[in-house]
Amino acid sequence: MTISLSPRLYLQNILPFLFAAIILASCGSTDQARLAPAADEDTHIYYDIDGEIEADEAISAYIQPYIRDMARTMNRVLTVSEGSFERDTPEGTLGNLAADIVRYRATAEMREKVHVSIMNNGGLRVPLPEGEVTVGNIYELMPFENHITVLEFTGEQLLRIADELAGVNGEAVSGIRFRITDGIARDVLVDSSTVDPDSRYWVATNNWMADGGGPSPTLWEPKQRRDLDVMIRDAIIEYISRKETISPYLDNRVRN
Amino acid sequence: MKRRTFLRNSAILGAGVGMGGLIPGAEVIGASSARVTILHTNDTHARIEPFPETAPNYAGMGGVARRAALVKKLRAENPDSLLLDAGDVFQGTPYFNRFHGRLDFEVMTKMGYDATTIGNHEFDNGVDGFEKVMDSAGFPFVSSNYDFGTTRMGMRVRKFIIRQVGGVKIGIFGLGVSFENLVLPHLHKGVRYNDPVEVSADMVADLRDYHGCDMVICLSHIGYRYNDARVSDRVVAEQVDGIDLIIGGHTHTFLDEPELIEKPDGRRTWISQVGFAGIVLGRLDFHFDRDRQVAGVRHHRYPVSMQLDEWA
Repeated sequence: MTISLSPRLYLQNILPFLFAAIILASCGSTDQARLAPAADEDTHIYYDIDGEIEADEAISAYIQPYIRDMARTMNRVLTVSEGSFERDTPEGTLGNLAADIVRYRATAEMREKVHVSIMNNGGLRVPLPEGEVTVGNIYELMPFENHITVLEFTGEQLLRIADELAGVNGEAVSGIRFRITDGIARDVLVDSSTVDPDSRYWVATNNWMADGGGPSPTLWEPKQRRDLDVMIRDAIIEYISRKETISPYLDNRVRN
Repeated sequence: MKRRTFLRNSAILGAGVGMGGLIPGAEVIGASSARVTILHTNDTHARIEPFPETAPNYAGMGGVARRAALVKKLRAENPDSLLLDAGDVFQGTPYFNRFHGRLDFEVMTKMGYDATTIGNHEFDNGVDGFEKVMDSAGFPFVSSNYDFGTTRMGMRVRKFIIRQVGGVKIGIFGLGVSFENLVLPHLHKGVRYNDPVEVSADMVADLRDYHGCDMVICLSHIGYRYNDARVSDRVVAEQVDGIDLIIGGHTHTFLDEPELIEKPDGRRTWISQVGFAGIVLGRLDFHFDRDRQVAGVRHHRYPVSMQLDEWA
């Protein structure tokens, strides 16, 4: 073609070839990686989808009753708290409550004395508020599907576990008392007695700490192990729902 | 390419493929060429409602109703689409505790999911727990390396499925993660794990050679990659030839874009994974030539939020 084209004509004639080239690049190229638009070109307009997505009406309508049902469940008031329960080290009101409930429930399920319970503070996700405590609050506190695991240790191992907990300035515990000095557990008492290195002790915890989580590797070498069919969240819900009120308490079980 | 031209070209490509001879270049890609759109999620974890506005992360994102709307729009644009999931539908919000996955399966059915695989959390209520809700799923479960023995679960889970989409024969198989340290033995009682690499090689041979599939997709819940010796999507892509696309899950990896693994012999495997909780919907468009060979791949991610572009 030797004649010059007006801009308009030029576009009309050349554009198809441009597009052909682009489609070639898109579909015939051996370099597939190059087909991905560069980051600044990867706009959301590319596939003719505009800015807003409204919820699909049919699906919205279908899930509405479930959402309402869920709200009813989650808004159910379990008990009234006379103060807020907070996480703290070396001892916190939230940790005391959770660890006491787990030891209480483990003893009931095992039908024999569970001497100690240990819960990781990190697993207690939010404080409990003062006033009405709902099912939803407990789900927030304990979103994980962890169950109670009961482990048997020698007294010697139990002392090591206390030291490992002292190393992180304490976790939530029940049934055991100690003082932390220089990162070491001293004056360790279980059931108001000193620990006999050769005796056996049952320790309740969550399956996460038993299976390799948390600061205490000795927990991973129990003499015996029982996994209880009790979710920790359920244990908490069932326990506090039987109380008209709950109130936070500290008893210096772990102290500096 | 400038943004303006890019958009215009995109529109042409988007609208033009179905219009045959009108579009210059149609003779190059062939009148019988096809474009298959793969939409995918993974690890949706009972996220029926969007994350609450008070959530520290992903506030207001996700939710099945908006995902459904997005899927519907994309399907309207290209009916030759598959909507696939890579497992762990179960667990993550109280909806699972209360409805045990049944609600998720029902909603996924309404959304038109074509398949999912079995993630480790699908065993959270045990094999029994899965069996109680599995019939609320109107789509197949595909898992190839779990041996389900004589469980009822095994009667519902398929080793592979084959779908004819836009004239392209697509074989889909699935991979599940090792139970070790993930699923308590009593919860997967009667189900055995087999090595994903060996199984994948067998599946590819079966799907391509015996069933004559043009494309092979793996729904994988083994995880994107690890720093140790554990098998992952990366390992499968590197050691097994003939998988076009691995739709991954388990590691909740937000890949900015799908990863292309290329072999010295030119074989290509794409790996894609879109985080978790239905926060993002992934899309890959596979373009096929006249001989139903993969001629090109384009991909995109859609954040599932009120405004599509408010998060990326």
